[in-house]
Amino acid sequence: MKKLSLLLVLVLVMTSFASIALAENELALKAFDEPVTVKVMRESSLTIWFPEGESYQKNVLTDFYKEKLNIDYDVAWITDNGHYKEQVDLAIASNDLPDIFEVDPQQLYRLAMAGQIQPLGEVYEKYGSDKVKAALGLNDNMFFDQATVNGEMYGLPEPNDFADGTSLMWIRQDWLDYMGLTAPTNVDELEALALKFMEGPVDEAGNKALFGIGLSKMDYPSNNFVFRGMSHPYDAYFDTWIPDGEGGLEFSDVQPEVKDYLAKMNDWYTKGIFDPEFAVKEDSKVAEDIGAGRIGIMFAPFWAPLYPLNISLQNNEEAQWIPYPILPKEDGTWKASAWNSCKRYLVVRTGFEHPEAAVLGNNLWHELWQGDYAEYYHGLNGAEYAEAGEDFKIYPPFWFDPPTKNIENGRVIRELWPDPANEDKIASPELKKQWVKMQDYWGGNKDNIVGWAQWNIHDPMWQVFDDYYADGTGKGDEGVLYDGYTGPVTNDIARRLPLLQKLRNETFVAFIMGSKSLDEWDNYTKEWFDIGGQDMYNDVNEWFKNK
Amino acid sequence: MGNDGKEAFLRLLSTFFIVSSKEGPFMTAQSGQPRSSLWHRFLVRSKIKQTWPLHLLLLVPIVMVAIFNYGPMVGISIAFQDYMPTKGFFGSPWVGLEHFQYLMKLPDVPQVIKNTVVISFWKLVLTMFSSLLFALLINEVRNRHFKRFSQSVLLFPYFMSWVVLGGIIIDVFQQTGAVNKILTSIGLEPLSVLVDQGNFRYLLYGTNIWKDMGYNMVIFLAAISSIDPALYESAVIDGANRWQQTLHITLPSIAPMIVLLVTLALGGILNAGFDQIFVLYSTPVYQVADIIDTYVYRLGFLSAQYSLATAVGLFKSLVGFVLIIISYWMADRFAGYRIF
Amino acid sequence: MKTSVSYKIFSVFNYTLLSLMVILCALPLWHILMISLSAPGPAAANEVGLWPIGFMIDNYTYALSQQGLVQPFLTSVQRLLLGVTLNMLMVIMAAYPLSKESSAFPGKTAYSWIFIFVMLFNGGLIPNYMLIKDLGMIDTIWALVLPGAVSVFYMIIMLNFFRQLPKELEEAAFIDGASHIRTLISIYLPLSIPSIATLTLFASVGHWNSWFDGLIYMRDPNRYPLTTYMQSLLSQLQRMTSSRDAERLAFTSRRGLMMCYIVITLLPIMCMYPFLQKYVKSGLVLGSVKG
Repeated sequence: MKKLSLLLVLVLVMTSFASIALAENELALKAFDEPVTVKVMRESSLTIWFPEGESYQKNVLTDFYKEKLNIDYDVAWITDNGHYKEQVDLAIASNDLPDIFEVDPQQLYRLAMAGQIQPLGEVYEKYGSDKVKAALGLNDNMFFDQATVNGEMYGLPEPNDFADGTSLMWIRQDWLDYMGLTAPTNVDELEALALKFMEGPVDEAGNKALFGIGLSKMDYPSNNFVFRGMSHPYDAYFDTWIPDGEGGLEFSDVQPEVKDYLAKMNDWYTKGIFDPEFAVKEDSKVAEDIGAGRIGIMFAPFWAPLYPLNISLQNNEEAQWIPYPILPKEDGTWKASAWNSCKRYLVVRTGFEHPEAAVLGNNLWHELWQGDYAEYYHGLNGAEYAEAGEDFKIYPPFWFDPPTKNIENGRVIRELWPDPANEDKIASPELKKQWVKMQDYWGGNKDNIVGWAQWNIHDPMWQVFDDYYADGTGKGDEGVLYDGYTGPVTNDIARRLPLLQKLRNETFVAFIMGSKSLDEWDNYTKEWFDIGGQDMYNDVNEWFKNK
Repeated sequence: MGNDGKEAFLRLLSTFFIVSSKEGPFMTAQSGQPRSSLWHRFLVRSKIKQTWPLHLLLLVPIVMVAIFNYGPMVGISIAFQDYMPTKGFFGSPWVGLEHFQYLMKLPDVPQVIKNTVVISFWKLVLTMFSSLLFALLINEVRNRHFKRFSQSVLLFPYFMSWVVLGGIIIDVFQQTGAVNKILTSIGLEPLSVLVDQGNFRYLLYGTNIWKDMGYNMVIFLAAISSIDPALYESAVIDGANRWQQTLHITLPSIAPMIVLLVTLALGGILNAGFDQIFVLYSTPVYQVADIIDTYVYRLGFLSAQYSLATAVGLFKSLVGFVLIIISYWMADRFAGYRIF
Repeated sequence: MKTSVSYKIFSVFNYTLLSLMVILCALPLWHILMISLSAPGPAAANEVGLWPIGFMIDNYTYALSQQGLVQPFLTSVQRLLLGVTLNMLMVIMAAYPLSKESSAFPGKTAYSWIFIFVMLFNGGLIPNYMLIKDLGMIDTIWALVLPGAVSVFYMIIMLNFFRQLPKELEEAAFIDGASHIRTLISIYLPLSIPSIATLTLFASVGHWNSWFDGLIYMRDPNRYPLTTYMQSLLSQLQRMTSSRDAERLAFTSRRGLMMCYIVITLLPIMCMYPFLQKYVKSGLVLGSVKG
């Protein structure tokens, strides 16, 4: 009886979706005739929860893949995501590769050059669903450039949000309100605000900020969003190839604009606006300062409320961080630098007979996560699999997030907020879950800091993007600056870049701290070109011309 | 082991020793005695009749290192190759000394090597001296409980990793940290150690003593505990005080151990402590604190530039090996002492 | 024995210095412990000093209720028992012959250098990994204990301890007709208990603390030893480069929990030392044998 009803539901589900699925690429979700076993290497979360009897190897979602696509995943290798890169390197070096796995752009290039992986252009064209193609095709297929080696496409992009590396200015709104101030709109106002926060008092208790702005160290593992975020009024950028106006590309780190910016940074350093030992402080140390109320101004991307700003609220219920656009350029326009948010690609080992399995898996994932099967996925995630939480995403071996999903969700939320009755008007089952958390926080549950973070991101944060940076999808807007070089990370680049970055980091820190005078700027640029910068220029411009 | 087994083992050993000899270790069927005079000479010189159990004992460890250490050494070849995973250790194209030349031409290399040697040398000297000092001090403690307790606690930092300790050390020594709070409260100038080129190395030496001292100290204490008590008894009868006993009995008795530990440490002279430096240093002090391992790490060699990484490793090993040979030879030549 | 005034002064100084050193060495651990016992907010903001803020034991109840911890702990214990036994067996088997003079044991010097060479040169990560794979030891405990079974460093130290034993004892044994093996077992080993205990401690710490081999030789996190497991947990809590990571950290950004993991990992091995220390007593053993 139970079986029968299950079957009935299944048939119903199948028929209701069949029409939609067939409306687009009919090969996109077509099951293999014979079962196909795919050996995969995948990342894990050690704290992941499985119900009794389920595992990475076999669980409710792998069963779903089996049912829909006739694919069995044989999980040969699992690693936490902090060590995933090392493991892939080892697998490549010992030539012991699984059938389908994720790699970073540098690994992709090496694998492609050595013939260890196969081109995927044809199967993607043939089997890729229209929805996936629309999601991954952002900015004229920018994500695919990085995966293209000698004219062949070797990897399916698994992007993050397009805005992953674009900074906003975050300010302690409660301090601002207490002191009766407004957010700065130019460099002088920013400096004045930083100094006022340090003077205090910023609250009833008479506290004051220890440092004006939370700057962290220049090298890995720090992301340096502050350093990047504050440079825009000077039209200065970092790690970015910019059009030189003559049909070529020039590198941001050696442009004269940077020199002016560094002079200002040095000025602020001497005024004590930065931690005198910022050069030692990792992002996590700055996060501690934020949490302890020692810093009131931060530059960070959209996800900052999830971390590190959440620590502030954990430690102090009254804390409130509100995002503002980075400071505009002199002419009053905005140009926030963005990075290529695709850092992982799905690749297929040479000799594996069913490369289309990778494409089909991606198609099905997209349907589960945002498409036709989203009710099923998020329904499970909300009920029997609630304990798995966000980790439910990694029940199947691979996942990705459509890069513009979040900004679109933001528009939906802003339209419906704050009326709780509007919950039913939300179409996306995923967004519905977030809505509940946001309502919970504003309904009085101050411990639900994730709810606060989701509200902050969807409401004020994406508002800033829509108002100032435009939507960043590259369709005629000038609000966001992408790296002009989107090509593969070749071995030459991989070898030269660290040397150049080392020189840049050491010199810039010395300029900021004043241990080196800015008069030496020309020596720096000369050395930069000498130790490999010139070769980079030649290679990158060569690529740009042939693009 | 029966006589047959013993005979068989002797034969095996003799092949090991004179395998290249034309005559070979043939035995006569009746007597079990060797036919050739070479075999006879081998028996006498190698004292194999008395020492075969010693060879037997060494058999398993030797086989183990042959498999797990010497086996993988084919991988050293990639230092001279342009390593390609699909072609393996034997099929990858040979490039001679190209990787070494590339390394030597990198900017900062002389400075980095100099830093490595200086930091490593002072760490070795200071940490070795401190562990010896504290071993002797603890040895003077009469209260059995305090003796045990202090020994245990002094080893605590050794159990912890630099990654964990690094964060705490930065907290303590930063401008707003505990050390500077104490300094300013007693009217002294605050001290900048983290980003100051002049002070940073002292931070490295100090924290290294603090963390690693316990290790050698425990070895020294074990060495002291195995000194023959009769030596002290006769010294007391001769009227020697504690200081004289330390100077004339304790120190000479553990001198071989000191020499040994220093020699072994010399082998690692070009490993100046990656973990410690990596968690503590920063851009302003690279000039004085960048060592081979951190430099190589930041240039990304460890992520997949295996040929370069192997070349660096080989260079470090060679230098260490030469130093060990030199100190072995010097101990033998000037003190008549074979370290191992 | 009469103690002189100067020695009394020295003793006072000595106790003071050692006490200071004890405090200095114990503080970081205490600090970590206090963070792990504090509320998440102050812990994450690094406001906890030497006393907990918002005392709670939730971190421990959470960490210890994790099912995932049990298996790694057992793996670590298994590794420790097997690995240390193998280490000490190899060390003793090799150190005894090598402690002989080369006049008494021709070939000794050659053997020594075969071992010393290994201490300095190694093939690197890839060939080691390929060897373990070809031997079929991936995902087995053997991958963690066999490659490092012969520890040359400990062997050389042991060799030195053996050499310091009084030669007369050994000679007497040989005259009595004892074999090498017999001498090793009934004379060398009992006399070397302090040094064996010391090396056992180091070998244990080595096995307990090493995590990298677990990471590369175990393809399934369920087989990780405890330290590898903890290392992975920590790296999962620390890594922060994208919205992906931020999302995960939002749920787990608990510095207190990290510190709690560190304490849990450290405790078992720290308890071992006092236990082994019992055997490092000066003179006792030697005196009893000689007497």
